[in-house]
Amino acid sequence: MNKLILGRYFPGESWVHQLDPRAKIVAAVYFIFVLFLANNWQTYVLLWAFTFIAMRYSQVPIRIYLRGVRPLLYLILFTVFLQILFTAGGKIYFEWGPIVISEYGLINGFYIFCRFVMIIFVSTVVTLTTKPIDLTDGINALLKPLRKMKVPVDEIALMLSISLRFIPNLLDETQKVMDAQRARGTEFGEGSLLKQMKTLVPIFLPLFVSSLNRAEEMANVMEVRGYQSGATRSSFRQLYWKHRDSVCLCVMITLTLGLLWLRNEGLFH
Amino acid sequence: MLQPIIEVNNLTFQYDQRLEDKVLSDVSFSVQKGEWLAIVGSNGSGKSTLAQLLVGLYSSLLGSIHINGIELNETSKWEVRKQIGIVFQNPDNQFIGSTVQDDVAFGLENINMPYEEMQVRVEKALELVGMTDMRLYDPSRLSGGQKQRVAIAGILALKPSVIVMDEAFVMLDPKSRRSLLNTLHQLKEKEQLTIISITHDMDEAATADRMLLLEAGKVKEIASPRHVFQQHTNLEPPFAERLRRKLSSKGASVPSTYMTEKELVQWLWK
Repeated sequence: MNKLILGRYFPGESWVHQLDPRAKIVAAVYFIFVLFLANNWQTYVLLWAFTFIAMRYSQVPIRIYLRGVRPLLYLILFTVFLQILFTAGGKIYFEWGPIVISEYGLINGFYIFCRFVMIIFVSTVVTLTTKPIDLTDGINALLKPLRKMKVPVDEIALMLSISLRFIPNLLDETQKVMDAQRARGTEFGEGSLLKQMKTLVPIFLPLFVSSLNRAEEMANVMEVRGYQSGATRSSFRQLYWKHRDSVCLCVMITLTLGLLWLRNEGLFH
Repeated sequence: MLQPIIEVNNLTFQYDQRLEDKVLSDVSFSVQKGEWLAIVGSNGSGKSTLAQLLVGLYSSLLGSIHINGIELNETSKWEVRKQIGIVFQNPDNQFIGSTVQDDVAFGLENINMPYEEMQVRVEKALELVGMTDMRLYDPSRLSGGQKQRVAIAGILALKPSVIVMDEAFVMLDPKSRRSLLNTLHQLKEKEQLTIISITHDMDEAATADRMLLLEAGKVKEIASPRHVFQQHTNLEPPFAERLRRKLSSKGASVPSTYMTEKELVQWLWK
């Protein structure tokens, strides 16, 4: 559980930390799309430069970013090798049946590797510098236009924030149930796969039942405190769009223009 | 006499219609504005059910509940809930917001209160329960008692005229329990707040204006604590009364009537 860096918050006061969550989410999603504009080495250099600057400005140590890549490393390498082995074109270095190691294959493989790593880095910049609750607020604010299409945006936001708030509670409870079952003689993580799965039942059932109880009690509390689904509610959390947020979006636009220019012209074509 | 703020008439309730025994049968009582009523009774006597009926979470089989003149039913319950708040026992499941101040604001958001007013109310409520320093904490950093205080603040922020406490002080340490009880007593005096507290703590019940003793879904007695503790010697009495009984059984010539802590101290001094 400790390995997962995505969704963790790294407290700090950096420039990136202080950005509005809306700006950060938009910028990150936008970056992922813009990434596909890159088609030659100059564009990749530009994107890498941007990624590194974003990482630096977040003031989070690089090793934490690297840790974020680690769980996905096998997936990345697998895709990269497939690219290398099955893309033909350009100078051929090695050929054996359908397997071809070619110039294009190597270049494509490298590009794909870059894309993967940059997507992970940029999304980790967002999750590391934004509190989960601010992220939900940001998502909520960005989904607002969907209200017109009868999407229950507020309900989704409330669900998200309640789930986030209960994750530590559920983890605690899981731990407690596990300890309680262990004290009664259950052994976890031993024996064959089937046996291991069976030992999970005495954890899941109590957790499931207690979640139901929790949900009921909570629904009561919410109802008594005047929560009515679909009613207009004011909001205690407010998001403020600041100068730096506009700057952030301007940077994204500049980046796009730069990419478009490098893509067509190429600096040293 | 003024019209009572809560009037319960011949309330009868059971969870399962097929069963014979009723959780509450023919319960009637009324509470005046600004009164503190303690509801006591052993487990399973129907205390919590009564509390949930009062806030409209269940609807009664027979009988009626009037709060501030409005009869509680499916259509009026939202209106009634603006006047009555409830604090439950389990602090974890009552914490809806992601931080302390968000949770306190939750009820205010629901009534669509403008942001500026909300801020003032939240600030004030946090101050009342002594949680101002922890306003930005998330629930995982709080103890059970602190969460309970936040739950109470969330109700206070709504400024109800009646607060129901369903064993709300169970998780609190003696010190914060005393300080919160003091705050509530003050609020009761100042703002004519009506408090109904369901409790097993007889010391707490002894500070109430009146006590309602519930037994197997029926009202056994509704009277001042002095009267109740005198009449029902099978109840676990508050500390001062216990001391008096001990002294009396040891042969000391203590008065044979119920005494509060203050009275007992005064008597001992003499």
